[in-house]
Amino acid sequence: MEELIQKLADLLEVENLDITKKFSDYDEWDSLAGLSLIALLDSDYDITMNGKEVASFDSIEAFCKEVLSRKK
Amino acid sequence: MGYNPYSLEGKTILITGASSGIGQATSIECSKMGARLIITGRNEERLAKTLSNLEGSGHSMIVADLDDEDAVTSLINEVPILDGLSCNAGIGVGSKPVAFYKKKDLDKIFQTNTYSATLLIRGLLKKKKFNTPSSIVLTSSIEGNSVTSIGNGLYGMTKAALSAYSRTVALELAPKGIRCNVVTPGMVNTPLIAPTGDLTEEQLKVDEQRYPLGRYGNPQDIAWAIVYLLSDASCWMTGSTVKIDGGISLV
Repeated sequence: MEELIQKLADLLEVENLDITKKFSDYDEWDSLAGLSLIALLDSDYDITMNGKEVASFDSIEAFCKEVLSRKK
Repeated sequence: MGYNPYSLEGKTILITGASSGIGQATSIECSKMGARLIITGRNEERLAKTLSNLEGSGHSMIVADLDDEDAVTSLINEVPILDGLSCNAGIGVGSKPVAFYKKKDLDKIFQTNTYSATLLIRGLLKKKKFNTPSSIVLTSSIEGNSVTSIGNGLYGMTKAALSAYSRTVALELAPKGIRCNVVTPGMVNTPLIAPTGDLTEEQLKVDEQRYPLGRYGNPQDIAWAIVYLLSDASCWMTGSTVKIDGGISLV
């Protein structure tokens, strides 16, 4: 989980990621960030998720848990 | 046909990507304008469907995957002398930001969108299959040429390359009476833009509303411009780009 959180922090270019927040709470979250996240899931975790799904999580923590549960 | 400078009567034309989308519509419109067609594509069933929808007679189809060297060689040997060539074979790929490009992504999309057309033209030239005069039309895109979209760089690169290539073809082959032009469509309703995981139907609808002319293109909208470029009406036009995009590149 730590590793994933760090990758997300790097992606959003923030120092400390508050995983109780949603992605959309961050100013840095835009369409490019969204596409980069999807590409990251594919390249680093071999997981496919679309933009709609990413936006559906109540918190970044919930998102991370889902990613890790699907990780092969 | 009476007075009609846009007529394709008496012309033999090879059309790639004819099993669907713009290639399919172009085949049908060219047949209505009197051309004799050789249509090619990968999908035998859909290619046969295109063939059955052509007007007039004397048409034929050749199933071929343009990424397959042997198939291309075979195709080139089989076709008669051509008065026109319309290259429509192309694929889209999912959105991917530049930080995530892989070589295999580049290889795959360049192969189908760019290499296949250039190698086909090379082969046809070597076998002297182009008539004097004749006309080549490549289907490019506004992406990579007039507009830039986040996540669409791979596709845009292949289309920008096609457009640059077409100008070289125009210059080098002008002495042979071979013209070369491109069409750059905006978003056209074909399987290439079908809702994928990353762009939903709703997102496409929202995007469509941005078009000054109020809608995405239909394959025929592009086909009619290709007909013009294949016809004698464009006999003084080479190395040009015909942009057909419902005005979207203006906003």
